[in-house]
Amino acid sequence: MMHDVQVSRIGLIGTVLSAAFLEESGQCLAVRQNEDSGLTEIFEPGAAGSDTVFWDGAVTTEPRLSVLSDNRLLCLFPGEALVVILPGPTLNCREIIKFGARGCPMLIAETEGGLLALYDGADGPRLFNATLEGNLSNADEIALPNLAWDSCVSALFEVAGNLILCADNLRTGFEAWIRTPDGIWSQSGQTGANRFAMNAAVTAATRIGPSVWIGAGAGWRARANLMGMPTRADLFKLEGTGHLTLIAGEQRVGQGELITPLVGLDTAFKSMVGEITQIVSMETAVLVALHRPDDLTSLYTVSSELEIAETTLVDGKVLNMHFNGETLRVAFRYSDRFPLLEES
Amino acid sequence: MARLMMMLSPPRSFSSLVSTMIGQHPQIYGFPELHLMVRDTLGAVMSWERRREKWLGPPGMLRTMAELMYGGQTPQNVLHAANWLEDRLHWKSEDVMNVIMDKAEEAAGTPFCLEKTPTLSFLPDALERVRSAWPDALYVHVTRHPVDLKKSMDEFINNNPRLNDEEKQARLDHSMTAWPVTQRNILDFCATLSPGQFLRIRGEDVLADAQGTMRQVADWAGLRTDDAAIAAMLRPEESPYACLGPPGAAFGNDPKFIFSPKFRPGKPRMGSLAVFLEEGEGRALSPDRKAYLTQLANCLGYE
Repeated sequence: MMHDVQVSRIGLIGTVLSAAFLEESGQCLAVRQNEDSGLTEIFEPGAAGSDTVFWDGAVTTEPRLSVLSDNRLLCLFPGEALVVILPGPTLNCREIIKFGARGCPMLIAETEGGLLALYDGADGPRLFNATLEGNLSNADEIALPNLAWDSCVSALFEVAGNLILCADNLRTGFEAWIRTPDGIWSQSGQTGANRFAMNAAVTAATRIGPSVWIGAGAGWRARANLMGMPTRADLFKLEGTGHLTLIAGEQRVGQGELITPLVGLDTAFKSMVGEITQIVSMETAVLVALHRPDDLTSLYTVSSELEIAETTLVDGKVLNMHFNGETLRVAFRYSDRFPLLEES
Repeated sequence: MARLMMMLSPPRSFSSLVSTMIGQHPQIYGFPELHLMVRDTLGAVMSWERRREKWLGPPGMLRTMAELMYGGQTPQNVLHAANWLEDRLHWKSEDVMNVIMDKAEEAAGTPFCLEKTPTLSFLPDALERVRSAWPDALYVHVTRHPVDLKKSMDEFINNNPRLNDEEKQARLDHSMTAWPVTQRNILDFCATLSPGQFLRIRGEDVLADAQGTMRQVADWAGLRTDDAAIAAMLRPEESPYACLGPPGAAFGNDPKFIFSPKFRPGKPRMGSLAVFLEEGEGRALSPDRKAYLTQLANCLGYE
């Protein structure tokens, strides 16, 4: 599987916060704070003479990058700013917009007709249908499910007309919900899929065909309190029907029956202490990046026959991956273990 | 030789009840607390036991040997067992354990032996010793709500006739320490095991749904899950160690369990860690410590 694939590694230095690949060109764009000027830079790493977009925003939140189907890149600083990048032959088109009357959302997701935008409100989060150009005051509001009071929505997807929502919960473990077109929400996963706060957070989520693949684990907020305790990651598949399946991870007691990972137990994935940071489809397989406590990342393939293999090791934390049918491009932030390396 | 199943838990975590229940599965031989693997050699184990005023050796070990090697738990057989141990002080603990496991397999024909010694959870070296001796061992991690565990621990300390008031107070002051220390040791250890090599169960879930939980334990170990096997697990009182033993080896398990070994189903009301930390004895703890305890409890399904 992976032996037929050319792997292109894009190593980024430590100040880079996020990276994304544009669908059509496979071009990598990264975001970092310029240490001297304090400006936010959006740039194409390693491209000689490429333009850099400087955005003069005093943001404090970590950027979330989303590539829209029309190849525009959205760079959302949750609750603070949304930057739209219009890529061209050179990276000289950019647009910085206000996003609706409510200001800046915390989370956005593309749908067939536009966008979903999740806002923080005084009485909890609120979800709206939106468009980048539209005025949100006229947008339809979508009722949210009955989330725990301290849950924080971390992923939103539209799959075959259904909405899928995941929410992190540091106290009880992540929740997963699905909303059918008739507006009914039902819960697909709770209490971190019976692993409680060991699965406090959805650390990666990707739509692949009619399902959403989810990486879950303690998440950095929980780990910050746990004083170095090693925790394992779980890999799930959430079907459009709402069925949550454990693909790989720990065996555990469930509601009524033992939960065993679909790939079995004696697999290459068995020592998966760390955090899944990225999941990407490679047509006949799914590629999963597991960021390990030693700050390296192991890449695993999960074949359609549910065979798992560890394929390669990356010298840092994987920020994004892109597969175009021939080449796998991996953008990663160099580990502090390699302080002298430069972007390549 | 039978395969080892080891129960990991802090003291006062329903471990006597749960381990005896699991040990009643027809394909498992359930030991009481053997205390063997806490030290590297039998001589070191015996010295440690004698410091705890267990003059003949670990009571659970003596009872098991009397039962399996000498035909029954009588005062005379306990002395035979003590002599057998005395003659082998130079043996490695794991070799003694292997003899006991062989005897259990010979007597009961079970493919698994279950051992639980809560002290092991305080000793990362001892856990490593177990792993090194039996790399394919299975581990059951039993948890209990930290506030309820502390209550139980305090009651145990207050009712201990061997302690004077000063000793009691010293132990009560630190009775909350056992929970995070042992849980952390166990969690760190489990992170190094294969994902199917351990199963974590909340003691409270066993009390609330013993049949369902025991069936999952049997399923996890690859053992029979038919109704008869599960029904046997709900009768811990039928274990030969669920009663007072002979003089010199009377206990070898939690005294409360020994005197009342029947399983009584019911959904226990759990305490509140938040209340304990904000209004109870935990209010003096530092914010970092509170955050750590809270997160650790949350990871195990407690609030």
